[in-house]
Amino acid sequence: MLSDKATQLTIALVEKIDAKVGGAYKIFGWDEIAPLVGKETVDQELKDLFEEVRLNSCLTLKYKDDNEVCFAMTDKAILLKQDLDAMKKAQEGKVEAPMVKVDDQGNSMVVLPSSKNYLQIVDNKSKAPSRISSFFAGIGGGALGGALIYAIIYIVQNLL
Amino acid sequence: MLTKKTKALMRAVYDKAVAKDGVCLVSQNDLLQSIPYRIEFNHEDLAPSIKALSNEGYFEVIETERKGDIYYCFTLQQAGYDFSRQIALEKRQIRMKIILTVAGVIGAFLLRSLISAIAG
Repeated sequence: MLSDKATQLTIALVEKIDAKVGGAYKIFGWDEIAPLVGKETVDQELKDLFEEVRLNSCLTLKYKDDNEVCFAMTDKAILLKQDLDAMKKAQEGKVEAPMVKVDDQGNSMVVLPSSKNYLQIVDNKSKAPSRISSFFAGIGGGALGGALIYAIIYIVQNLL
Repeated sequence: MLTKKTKALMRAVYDKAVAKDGVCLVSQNDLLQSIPYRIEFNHEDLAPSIKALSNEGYFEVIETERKGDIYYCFTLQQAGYDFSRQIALEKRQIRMKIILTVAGVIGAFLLRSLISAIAG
């Protein structure tokens, strides 16, 4: 799982090299990568962040030395950026029609490009379907159904 | 079998890569400059030579660019690591041939002298 800073670096690298699926390798100096995470100088933390991105399979490294690196961004990194862009657009209410579907309750759902799972948009804020609310909905439905059956049985026994 | 040009190119790649754990990043210009002037190696020979060596399993190569210059990232394969041994073996074979040739000449001369001495 990527840390926040590693995610920031991943997204920045995807944007910087204009990464596409099956894209080519690029060469950058460490001094070109440092500003992407707000650093002014190249330090061990930057190299550790880069390594974290690599270990999470977001980039394929071909060459690395003290001055420069040669790497390509993987599909995983590109899809991560697409997911984050989709969520951001959903929050701003700017999602295009094919990316949005409406469920039975009339709630808007935005489809994530990577997994094809969806996030519920509530008051223009994206919200994942809550397991806890589903749990209580199940209990409530069961209780209501049980009460209804009990009422029917009571009526049948006492009135008929 | 390597030609003179591919051998010169492989020598240049090997010298750069072996010092860095078998991987190196070289610009096109640096690579051409690493090839001795006595080898007639033109700019147009570079791409086919790289492809030939890559196909023969000497290295994996990725072509990329940076600030308008073409760079190659070479990763030595097994045949690439064996290159220096291959060259040493070829040199040893040439030395043996020379030694045998010289020994043959000397031996022939001695035999001729002996026969001349016996025959009077």
